[in-house]
Amino acid sequence: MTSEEYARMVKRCLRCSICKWIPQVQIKNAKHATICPSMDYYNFHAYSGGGKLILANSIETGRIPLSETVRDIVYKCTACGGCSVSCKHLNTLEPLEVIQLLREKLVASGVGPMPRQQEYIDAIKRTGNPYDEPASQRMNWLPDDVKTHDDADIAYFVGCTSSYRRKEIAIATARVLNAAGTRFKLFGSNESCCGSPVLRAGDVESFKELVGRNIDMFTASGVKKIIASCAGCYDMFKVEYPRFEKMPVDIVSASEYFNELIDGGKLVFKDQEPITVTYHDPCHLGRGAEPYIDWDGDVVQMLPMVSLNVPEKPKRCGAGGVYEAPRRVITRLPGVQLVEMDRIKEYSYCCGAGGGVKSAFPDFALHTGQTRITEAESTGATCIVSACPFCSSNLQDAITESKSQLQYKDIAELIYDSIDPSMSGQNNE
Amino acid sequence: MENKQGIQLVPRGFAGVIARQVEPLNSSPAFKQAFKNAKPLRILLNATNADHAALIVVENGNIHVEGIPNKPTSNLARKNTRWDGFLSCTTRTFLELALGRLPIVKMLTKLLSGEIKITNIVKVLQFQKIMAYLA
Amino acid sequence: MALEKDVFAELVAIVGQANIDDSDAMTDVYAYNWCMEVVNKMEGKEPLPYSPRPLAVVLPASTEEVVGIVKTCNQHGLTFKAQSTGLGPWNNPSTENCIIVDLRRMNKIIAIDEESMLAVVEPYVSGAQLQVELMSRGLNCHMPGAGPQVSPLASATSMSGPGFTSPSTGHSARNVLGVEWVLPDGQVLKLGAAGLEHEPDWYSGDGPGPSLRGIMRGLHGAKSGLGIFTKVGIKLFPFPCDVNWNVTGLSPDYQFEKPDLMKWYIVDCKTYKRAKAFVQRVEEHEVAFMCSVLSNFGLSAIFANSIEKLLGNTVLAMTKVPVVILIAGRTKREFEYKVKVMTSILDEHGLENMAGTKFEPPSISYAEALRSNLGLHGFIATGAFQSSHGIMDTLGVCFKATKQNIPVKMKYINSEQIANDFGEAVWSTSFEHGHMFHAEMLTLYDQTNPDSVTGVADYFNDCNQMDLLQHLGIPFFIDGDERHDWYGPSCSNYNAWLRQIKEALDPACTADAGFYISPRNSKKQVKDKEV
Repeated sequence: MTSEEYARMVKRCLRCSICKWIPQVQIKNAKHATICPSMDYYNFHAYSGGGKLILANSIETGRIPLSETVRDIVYKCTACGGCSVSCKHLNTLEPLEVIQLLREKLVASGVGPMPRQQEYIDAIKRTGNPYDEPASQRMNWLPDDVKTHDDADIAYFVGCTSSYRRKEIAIATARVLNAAGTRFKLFGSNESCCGSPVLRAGDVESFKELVGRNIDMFTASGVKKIIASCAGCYDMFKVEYPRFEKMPVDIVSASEYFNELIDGGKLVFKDQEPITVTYHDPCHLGRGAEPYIDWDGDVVQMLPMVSLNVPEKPKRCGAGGVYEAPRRVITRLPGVQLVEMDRIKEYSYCCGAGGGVKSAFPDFALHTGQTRITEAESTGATCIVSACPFCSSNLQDAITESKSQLQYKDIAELIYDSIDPSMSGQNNE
Repeated sequence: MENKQGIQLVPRGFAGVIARQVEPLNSSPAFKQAFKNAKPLRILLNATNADHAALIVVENGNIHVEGIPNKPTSNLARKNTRWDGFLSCTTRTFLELALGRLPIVKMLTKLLSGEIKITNIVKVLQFQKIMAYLA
Repeated sequence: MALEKDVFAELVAIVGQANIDDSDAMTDVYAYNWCMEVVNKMEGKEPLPYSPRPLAVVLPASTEEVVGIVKTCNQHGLTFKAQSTGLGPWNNPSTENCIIVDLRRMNKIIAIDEESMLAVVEPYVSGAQLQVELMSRGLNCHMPGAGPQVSPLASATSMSGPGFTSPSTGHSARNVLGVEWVLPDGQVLKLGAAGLEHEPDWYSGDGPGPSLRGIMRGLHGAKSGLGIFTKVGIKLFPFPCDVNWNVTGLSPDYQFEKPDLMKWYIVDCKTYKRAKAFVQRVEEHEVAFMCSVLSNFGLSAIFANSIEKLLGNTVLAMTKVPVVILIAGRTKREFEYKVKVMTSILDEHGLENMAGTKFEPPSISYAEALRSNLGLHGFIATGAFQSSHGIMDTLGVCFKATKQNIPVKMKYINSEQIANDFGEAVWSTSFEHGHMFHAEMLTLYDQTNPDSVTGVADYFNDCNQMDLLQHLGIPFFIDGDERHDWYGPSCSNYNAWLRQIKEALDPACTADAGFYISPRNSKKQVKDKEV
């Protein structure tokens, strides 16, 4: 949005608190009625989406300066976008965009980001990953039995977290692709951070450099399609990169690709013991993954103060996210029964890891993860499935901390466990 | 879509608003019956505080809207658009007229002051009859 | 102003370090509220959406902590302002010498008594949260027009209380039963059977002696001017239809599996006279779950989720005096009876139902009606609205006010300070199937435009004058010293009585009196005077 739009938008919060709850008509359980992890943990109104809009107004109108106190409020937020979905059901405000812009202002002024976030931004610049691990070890996850093809026109973008921390996701994804006969390549040591942690922290200048570098790398690789098993990477390539530069490749999430493979009969599954799972919608694969739609309409002032968009401007309320593909995958695996949590799809409750929170405010992240695990347990499921390595990390930490009996699996692992052994290693030429 | 003068006819802006309002008439059996055999009708509605005028075309029981940029004003000339009736006013006045909320005295005042311009009022009033099929 | 360190330390000892914040950033956020710019302008101040900035915000988790905070305020000459979900300027402090008591951490449903049909809740239970717990028991609660995200406790104890379902679920003032009330001096008072020493309960709101429920809130509530309410018993009602709740689709275009035994009626009565006769007849027969008189744009708004859809509902926008009614039944027999009654009344009045013929209500509208989410649609058109008048009186007075308001409002519409709704925007409903009626005139404006805010403020002042001078019912927004002292002499000097109540319960004016009334000779004065 333009600075004029921003200045006007931050004056328009109605303080209705809708941003703290899932859409009102979706509330089915009093315990699972809230959408905002920041409010659930910190409780003060300023932590809500609306609260941050008001904070932005206070700053914009000179009532308070940018300060470390403001910084802390703004960054104690996973930037999950739940507030935006709820607000925009009837309103036209953009709380998440305002939060992002506030972060950018904090970084531009030197007050932000949080120190721990600056550390990982510096690490990304040094080593291409936020974990400050050697770039040369990025491919260490790759087992010998996985076959790749340097001349493939499909690439699997592994992402930093799967490469260095959640290797089981990368391994499972690669093995599923092999089992389905997909010819794919890896970017190897050329792969570096997609930039999600940098952008979410508000360092848009550093992010732009990463965008340019990655797009050049994609172009040089000659690939036509990229599969991303990390929701954060998927969101970056699908939604955020096109806002800065034209993407030279198609991007598909691993869930969507797996769904296509099953549709095409490329995977054969074995009979297995029944298991009841529940699916956690990652924010960046769900509501966050809705592309921005170019709107070339007109604004017609019908009456003073009442304007129409002609045609109606699409609202990004999360409807364009990836929800059905992972569910179709799960429900077609033999023996796997899916039970839904109360907060799903565009009003899913955040795992707690995103927006730089896991590094800067680990207690907050863990508490939020535990909230989600408790909700998962309430479904009676024995396993929680998701499609994001960052959700994986935080939810597994929460399972451990809560001493929960729940198992966690990435969707790739769930599929790989279901594949008929006769298919393993098939079609690797 | 363009007319002979090369003017884009896609109903943008105010014309888009009108197009959206009248489109349901194409599914109205009563409207279709009433206008199936009627003489074709072209009414030009110009919103003076918007960028596009709406040319409403009723033919063979169907209705559609063409959008005409209202600057230069020559775009709205009868020879270019072949309108049968012409109404020009602000969007607010248009809304009041469309919803039947403009008392006759006020309408006359606005006519006298030039805020409303009408040419061939008989044809323009047919538009009101058309709108009544929406109710 | 800054909170003194020793006071801060005392409050930390009560609520814990994590539950108090006195930073400028935090307190400035709490100083902001919806319509605060209009209130400021009405009081001759700059039309900013901010009240005086409080000294600090505290988050107690229990009645004991609330008592501790109140006593601390008393000891140190501070005021306090309590808020639950906090929507509206009446949640804001009137001086800087104020501690905001944000009751968010008190969010438990204490009890649901299905047999006696009452629930006991803490301040930060939302209407929707309570409703979903009740639905599984076949029960329902009243929710105010402000929406299901606000606090039933706040509505029951402190602020007005009409709702879309008021014909069947009443008015918050009349639904309140037992109350746990922290008085401005820190004493804990329990009203009614809740105060019994032996086997206390929440069912009866009054005990022997004067009804303190009336003193506590009267019609419109004390808006935090008489202490802090930490628990309340509220009446419940049967859920009106099948409790199966199935919402599908994705935001913003949800669909709802409409219960079989539910039906909308959208009736254009064309004149206020016909509408009055029709509504009275419907209410006499006690068949409506919801029965509201709206304006054309208001009607269109409740069935839209964007301004484009609002203006696109042409057939609704062309109505003159629409009445919208929702009937529901728990059994086929009950529902068929209600349908027969409605058919008969429509025939009697020569009216027709547009729903299902000329207009198909979206399926989600049934869910939104059940969930009392319709009021929030008022924000669709311009992003801001507020109501004037807010009458509690007979239906005749409600319609009189609606009509007499039109020329007054048109003045501000013609000067383009208020959005054009032809002056007719109204929401009128009954309480308890026609025992009383309510009407408020919605005003759409642009809160970012100082001229619009000025227009609204001037218009609201005109409305207050009208209410008094033309007897247009007892209005919503007579609050604060100035307005009470102006209105009181024309209404049996009730302001003197109100002041006596304040003096009896809060002589030191520890509970912020900005939207209530201040005691005489108070050392703490309201509205920017010296403390």
